[in-house]
Amino acid sequence: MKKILNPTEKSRAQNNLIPRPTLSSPQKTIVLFIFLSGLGLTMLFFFTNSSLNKIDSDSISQSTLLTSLSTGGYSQFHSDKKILRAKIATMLSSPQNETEETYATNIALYLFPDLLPDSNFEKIVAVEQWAPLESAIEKKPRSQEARLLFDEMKSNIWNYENPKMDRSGLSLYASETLKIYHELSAP
Amino acid sequence: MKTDLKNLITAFKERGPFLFPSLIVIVFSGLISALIWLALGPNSSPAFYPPDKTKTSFLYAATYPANEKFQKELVQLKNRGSLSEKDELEIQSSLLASTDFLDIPPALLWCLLFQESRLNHLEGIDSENSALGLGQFSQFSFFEINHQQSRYRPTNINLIISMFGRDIRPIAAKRRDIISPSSYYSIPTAVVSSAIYLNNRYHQLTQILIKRGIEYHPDLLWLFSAMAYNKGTRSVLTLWNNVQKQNGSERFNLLVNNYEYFRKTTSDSLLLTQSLKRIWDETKARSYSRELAIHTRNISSCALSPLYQTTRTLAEVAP
Repeated sequence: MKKILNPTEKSRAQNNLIPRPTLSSPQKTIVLFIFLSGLGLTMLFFFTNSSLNKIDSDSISQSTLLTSLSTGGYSQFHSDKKILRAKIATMLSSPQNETEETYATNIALYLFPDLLPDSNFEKIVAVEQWAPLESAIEKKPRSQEARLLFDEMKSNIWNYENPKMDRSGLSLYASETLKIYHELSAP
Repeated sequence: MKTDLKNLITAFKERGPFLFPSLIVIVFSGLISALIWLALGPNSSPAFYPPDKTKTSFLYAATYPANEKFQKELVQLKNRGSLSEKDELEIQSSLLASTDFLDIPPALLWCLLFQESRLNHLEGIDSENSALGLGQFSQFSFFEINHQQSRYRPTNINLIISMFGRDIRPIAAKRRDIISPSSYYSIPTAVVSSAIYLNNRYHQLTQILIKRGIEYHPDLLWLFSAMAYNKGTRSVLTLWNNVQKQNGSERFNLLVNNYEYFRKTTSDSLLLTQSLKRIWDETKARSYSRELAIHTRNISSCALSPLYQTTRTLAEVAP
């Protein structure tokens, strides 16, 4: 029995071409389903990964230092600060994305300015204007001297970020730093 | 060799009348091409590049406010009685003494005070605002003047002693004793303190560039200092970091040496917002960048020599 060919098959047959296998409707639906599922899974993985990075960054924020200071005392504070320093150093050397780089740069600016690259114009100000005061406060915590040093540090940071003390206030990172050293210098 | 030279001389003798004009045409074309290349080439000198780097006042107007809009506003302030002739003269004499002592362009300090308070030395006296007086000082501006002068230049203290005969610090916004030399509501005190605070911003910014071995033009650094006076040194440094990161060191050098590039950069709202987003969230960064751009444009329009006033339409620059 002679097979009746459709125009495409006829053309292929005339040109001695092997007919391309075609998918039936259910097969097409399955392929489409697999493709869309794959796309969905890829997107889910991407966004989950971004969120996990964010959560990881948040979990080692400066607020943690404040908590460790009030609950675990100086030794806990110093130990957590060391961990945070190592994490910030890693983030700065190979940031995952711009958000992470901004986060790490801001934390480094106020807590570990020596980690900033020399090309960063802010490094000189931080190294001169608050890093020495922070070290001095940490050496003599909860003293009158520490409080005076804190007042100077607070003034330097406000003058640096928002001299008019307008509605913008300070950046989150500057505020958190001041909270930590306010607590550390309270006589 | 001798034969070659002889042939050349003979050729020149024979075709001399044609060779000479041809040579002139070639040399002349070369010169024209070189001139066109210099004028339009990629490395051409910028239109506003300072002609002499040692001359510090090429950018600033000798009389101020330089812009007609601000001149009109000044007249209105006087007509309304918001600025008395006595106060204006006192501001001017203190300003000239301070700027001369600290080597600040007088037009810049005058315009900064005009921008901050419209020369009202009692601005905010009855309010709970954080920024007060002629130069809109906050408690931290006072702290710097009163307690941190050793970090900056010793000339600051010399200025206070030269102006008042003694160290009048601590300076504060003394509402009940506005004529006291230690009160920021007193005009000479406000002008001197504001000049010192501006000078400190200049010192801070120039020291960073000096330590990095970057050449700069003082006139442009004064403009950056006025920005830092209003919005903090961090805003300026974040902008510097962004320009350097995105456009490279060569462009950054242009930013601190070339007025036209400075103007373009500080009016690029996208770039400003992008820079400030590294400090604040997007909403704050947008509003801060807008304010910074307006502040810089107003100061420039008011203080810069008319030669550099490229924008005449100041309707958008609401004070």
